[in-house]
Amino acid sequence: MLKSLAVTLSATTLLTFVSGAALAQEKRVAFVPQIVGIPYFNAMEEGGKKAATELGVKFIYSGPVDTNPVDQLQIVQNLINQGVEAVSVSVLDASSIGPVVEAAKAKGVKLFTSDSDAPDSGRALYVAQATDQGLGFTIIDELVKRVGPEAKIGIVSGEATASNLNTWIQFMQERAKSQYPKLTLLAPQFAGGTAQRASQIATDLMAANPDLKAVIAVASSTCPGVGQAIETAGKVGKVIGTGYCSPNTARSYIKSGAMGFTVLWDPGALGYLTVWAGKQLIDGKTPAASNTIPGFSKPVTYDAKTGVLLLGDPAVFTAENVDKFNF
Amino acid sequence: MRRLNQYARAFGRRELTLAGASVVAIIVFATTSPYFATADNLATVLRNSTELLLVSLGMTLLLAMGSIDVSVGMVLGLAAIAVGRLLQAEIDPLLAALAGPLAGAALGLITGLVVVFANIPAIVATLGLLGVYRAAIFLALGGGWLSGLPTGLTTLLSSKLAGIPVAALVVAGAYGAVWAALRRTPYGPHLLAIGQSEDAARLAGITVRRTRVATFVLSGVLSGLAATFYVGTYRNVEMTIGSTLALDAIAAVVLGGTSILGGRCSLLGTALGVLLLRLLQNGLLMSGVPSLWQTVVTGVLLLTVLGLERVGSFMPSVRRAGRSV
Amino acid sequence: MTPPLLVAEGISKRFGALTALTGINLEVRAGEVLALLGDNGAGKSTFVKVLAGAHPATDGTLRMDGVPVAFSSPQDAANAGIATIYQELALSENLSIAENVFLGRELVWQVAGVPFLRRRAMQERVADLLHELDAHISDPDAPVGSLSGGQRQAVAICRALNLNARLIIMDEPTAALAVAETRKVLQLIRRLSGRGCAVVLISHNLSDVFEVADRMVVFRRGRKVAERTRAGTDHEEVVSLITGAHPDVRALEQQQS
Repeated sequence: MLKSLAVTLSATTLLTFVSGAALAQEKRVAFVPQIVGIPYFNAMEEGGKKAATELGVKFIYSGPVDTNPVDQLQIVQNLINQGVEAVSVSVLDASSIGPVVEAAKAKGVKLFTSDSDAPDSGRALYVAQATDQGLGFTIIDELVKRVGPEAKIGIVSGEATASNLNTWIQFMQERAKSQYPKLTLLAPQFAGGTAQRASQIATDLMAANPDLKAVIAVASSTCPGVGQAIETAGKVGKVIGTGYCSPNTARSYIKSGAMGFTVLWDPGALGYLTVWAGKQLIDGKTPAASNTIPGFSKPVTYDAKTGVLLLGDPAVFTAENVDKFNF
Repeated sequence: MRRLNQYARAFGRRELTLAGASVVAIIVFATTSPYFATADNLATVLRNSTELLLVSLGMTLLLAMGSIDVSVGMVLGLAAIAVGRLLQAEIDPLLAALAGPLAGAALGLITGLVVVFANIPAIVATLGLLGVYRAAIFLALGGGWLSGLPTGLTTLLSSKLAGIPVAALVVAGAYGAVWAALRRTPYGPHLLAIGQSEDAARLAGITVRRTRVATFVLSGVLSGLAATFYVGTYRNVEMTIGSTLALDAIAAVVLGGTSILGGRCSLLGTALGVLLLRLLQNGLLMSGVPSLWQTVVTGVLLLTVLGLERVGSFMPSVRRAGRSV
Repeated sequence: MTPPLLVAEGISKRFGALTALTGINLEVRAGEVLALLGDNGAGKSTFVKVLAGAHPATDGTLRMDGVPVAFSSPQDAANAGIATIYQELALSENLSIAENVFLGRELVWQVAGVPFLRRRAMQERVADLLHELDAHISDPDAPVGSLSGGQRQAVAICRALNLNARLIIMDEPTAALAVAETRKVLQLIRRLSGRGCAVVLISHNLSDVFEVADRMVVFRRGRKVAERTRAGTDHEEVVSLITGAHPDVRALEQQQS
């Protein structure tokens, strides 16, 4: 019931957009987020809209109301059936997207990934917010600066099937192993999508490991739970919370000291770059090795071999700079 | 002898099983993790049980009545938004706290009227409402989360009255009120009679529809109260709030010995069911068991307890079948 | 002779094209056991459903104490003092005897507007009723699910008495019972009439009927074909009335066709 409602909701949004687009005779670039209604993807939507206006294309934004891979695939399939020229996806389940990529090719639809990849699926390219390596390494490096190279660190993730989250965790573990052999990373715990469960897990991790120095919130939905748990346990100053958290979500925890810093990128710029890439694909172009894009301070690099278009280095948000961002 | 029978009936087999299982779990986890059996950690388990217990009390009444509500998580979500918005508007925290149960009552009334007057099976009707309420949460949050809410409510709930935490008093009060309604007012026998046979209840002159709607309202109030605790504890309302709550509550209630077919319920069993679920979640994590296995353990536990009972002599389904002969 | 408690005049019941009852006239007196006899489909059950308010009559009038009454629901009939003990007993097995007896009519006291059960008072009242009926049930708190068929009849009768019923309708009360249990129920029926309560009894078991009934009314094809007092008839005659072999019934039926 919920599923069908979700699909109906998305289909309705879709129809509105599509009919508008057909009238305007514009080329269309769609972006399918992992879930609608969270600030992170809202910011991507804003960036995408801005790019669409400036580049003269129509932007379609539609996604599942729950982090459900099947719903997401149905939405992508609908967009392909509508003949939307370019469709980008923040992939929820990399293992099941293959058939949709095939369907897109058969219809002449440019299907590419953005924000979360499916590397072996045959997608046209991947718009990366930062390299997974950069994100994994940065959070460990920044933590070591604050808690030293011998600390014990807990990890709270979201869904166990989210490929981007798992990849980041792998790079964290790799960095710890190669650079800080005395650092202890506990096995990741998965909280699903709710702040409540994330808070419980973080509380339990702190209780089970009195020598814990930091907790990493890997999924954005786990950020408030981790921050709240540290505050409630009275561990502010003893345990540092961090994670891939947007400034708006983490702001109060960064200010209370429950979170020392967070690592992310500017999703608005990512949304912009996604639509820009879609426009390139529709025009039959491949991005150059280095691309100058209006509004971007640095040129954006493209690796033709892996098909990765890279936004840039990850950003670190701290008490000093957090108020400069609003997403 | 008669008195003894009454006690045996009040504290039945299932409650004993659950209490025993909880004790075993505590002993096992105490040996696998040195930090499990500490006052701090056990207090955490109790605190983390609050919302689930409140929602499960309402679910107990609904199942006892032969009904169900799979939308309770969304009712909690909407009530949490009401509480959160009031906190954001810098309203007095006590008023914001009351907004939770009030919003819950209003939503429970809607659910009850839809279920009873549309005359649709409760599971189907509340599945439909689940979708509607979910969309309402989506619209009410307007794509943003409520994050970093003011701490007034948190302070209120963690304050103490005569040395006892206010939160504990509120939960004990809610449990006591539901118990009294069930065992000390006509509502209790009416509810159970409806759960056993709606037609027989109607023949006995019970106002079946009114009792059913009232039960949905009561369940809504409890979910709304849980929302107040949720917002007070996490100071956050996210899009996915309450998404697994209904199933967790049904699991706890059924584990506690309330019949999913109606007519029989145990509030104490529900409380013990909630406690056992939370003990397992906490203890498994502290013992370093990966989180995916935690859900498996919970599922197996549920099947085991229900399976054991079927093997035993106390078989409600067989007794029910016997009645029609 | 006491005036009749209930008088039925010309009661007819049609379900669409099907005529279930035609012009039934009969009287029930207080303290009397009246048996309704007849084959399956003769109209006995339909007639008691009209009395109990479950079906409204298509034609005819009912009078209680000489006053015309019209029942639109079993609740109406119960309020007028007519209680029905259904073949498939409408008791809640999961509730105690006392809860069943008082279900929907609990004794309460109000504390700040909240009705609290007067459990002790209800238990005592039920214990008294059970004792009065000599039902041999000691614990009014026992769940009805644990009782035997005869004991359940006793509980149902207690419930009817507690509602101040003056006329109790019993539909096949002994059908599913063992011999000893049947004896108990027949005793209960006697006690009821001894208390001045009228009993309308439907039964297929003629030896039961001859043991407790004061009068018998025989139904055939939706009509009343005969009325006898126990003293004025015997087993054999009643069987021939039910099967239609009796000369009176034949004459009546020839006259109608």
